[in-house]
Amino acid sequence: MTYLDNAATTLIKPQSVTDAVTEAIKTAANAGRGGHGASMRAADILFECRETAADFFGAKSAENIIFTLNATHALNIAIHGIMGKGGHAVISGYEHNSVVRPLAFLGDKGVSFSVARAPLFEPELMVEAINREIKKNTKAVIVTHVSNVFGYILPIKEINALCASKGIPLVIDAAQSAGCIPVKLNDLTAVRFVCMPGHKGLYGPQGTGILVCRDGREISPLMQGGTGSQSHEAFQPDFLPDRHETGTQNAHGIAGLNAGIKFVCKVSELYRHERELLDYCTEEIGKISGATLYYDHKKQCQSGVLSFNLARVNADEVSYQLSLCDIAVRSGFHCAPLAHETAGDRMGTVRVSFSVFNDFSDVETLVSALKKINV
Amino acid sequence: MNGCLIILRSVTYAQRAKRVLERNGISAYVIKPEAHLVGNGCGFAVKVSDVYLAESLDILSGENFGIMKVYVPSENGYRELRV
Repeated sequence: MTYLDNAATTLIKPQSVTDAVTEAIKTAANAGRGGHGASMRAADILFECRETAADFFGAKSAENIIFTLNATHALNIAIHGIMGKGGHAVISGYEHNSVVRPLAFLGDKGVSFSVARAPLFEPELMVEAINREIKKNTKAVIVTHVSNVFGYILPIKEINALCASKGIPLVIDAAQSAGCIPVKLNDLTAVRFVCMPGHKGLYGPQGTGILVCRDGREISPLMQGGTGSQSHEAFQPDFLPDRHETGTQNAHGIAGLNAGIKFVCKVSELYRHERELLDYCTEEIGKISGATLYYDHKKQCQSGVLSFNLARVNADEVSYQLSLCDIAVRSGFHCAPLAHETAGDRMGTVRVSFSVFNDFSDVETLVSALKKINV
Repeated sequence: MNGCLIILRSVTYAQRAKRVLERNGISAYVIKPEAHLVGNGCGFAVKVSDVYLAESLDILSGENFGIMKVYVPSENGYRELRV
């Protein structure tokens, strides 16, 4: 298979990830519950991954790494935690439903939000748009680091500086950037939470995610239950990570996630590799008559994600035809209709997304198939 | 090792304490002590030799570990040490 749907999940994982999961399944029990060796082994796995992630994302300590099911889970903890008692939030026009829906759900609790709309690949205009939407009662700015539809890299440093100047907490959805583009808490002073999946750019297994907290104790937990600590207390612990980690943790998946992050640390210039594939792909698809490409011509703010449409065949049909050629892409609205609306697309797009395991021959296979489809 | 127990808030804190102590050349083990020693239900501890207890407490206090209780071995098992 030619796999070009890495923005959904990286299908091809490093061997070290597979090995770590296999070993953990054989040896790791329930972390932080029993005192026996298999439970301690699981606890060690979690702690090792916390240390790896804390270092990679510039968190204060291992405890500031909260394990979640995925990025959506992490975003829900952050959004419900900050906005749960009402107030106003500003989001970019490129947000995924994992940001839009929690905010819409909280509408009953007095939460409102404004959408900062600015054209694709115009980072300065995005900062201006966010600034325009900030109100006196704005409690948070919540933005994606990289659009899952267009690969647009939002100007996170400038947005952070804006939020810092106004004393507004910033929440980053790093679903498409974590592992590929640096995001470090210690460089971004306004950032309160960074939310990410483990199974995309970090090359871990599905069912893993991370919430990186600057503090995290100040917000209410999304769930309550067993933590293996202070079990005689009726209320959830007030310390991390237990405040936000309830129930059995996915030690087997987290073993793989730890291996994935270590893999990413070793591989240099991931972004550059994906960007080179993107540029080549854009150039070749651009030769197809009538193709529409959502592309950053300035080559400054796009990751290895490309949306496009063909003139004669709609996006879902293109995706289906490609699947018959054993080529995996995604079509439609990518759970981010707001991003399509902001970019002016009404029909959905075909999305191609790269990983470290793709090369130029994958692009050639794709383009060859597209030329046959577009007749 | 019939050592002293430093009770911490959770297994994560106990593991971090173990790492910090080992970086300072002190052998430490994470264990799950009897619940009555913890005081408010389940918890975890690091076990260290009594020779290094004072130094261990100094190190951990300096890193804001939130030590809950400290026990030293006694004839009947463990005796709480007021710190």
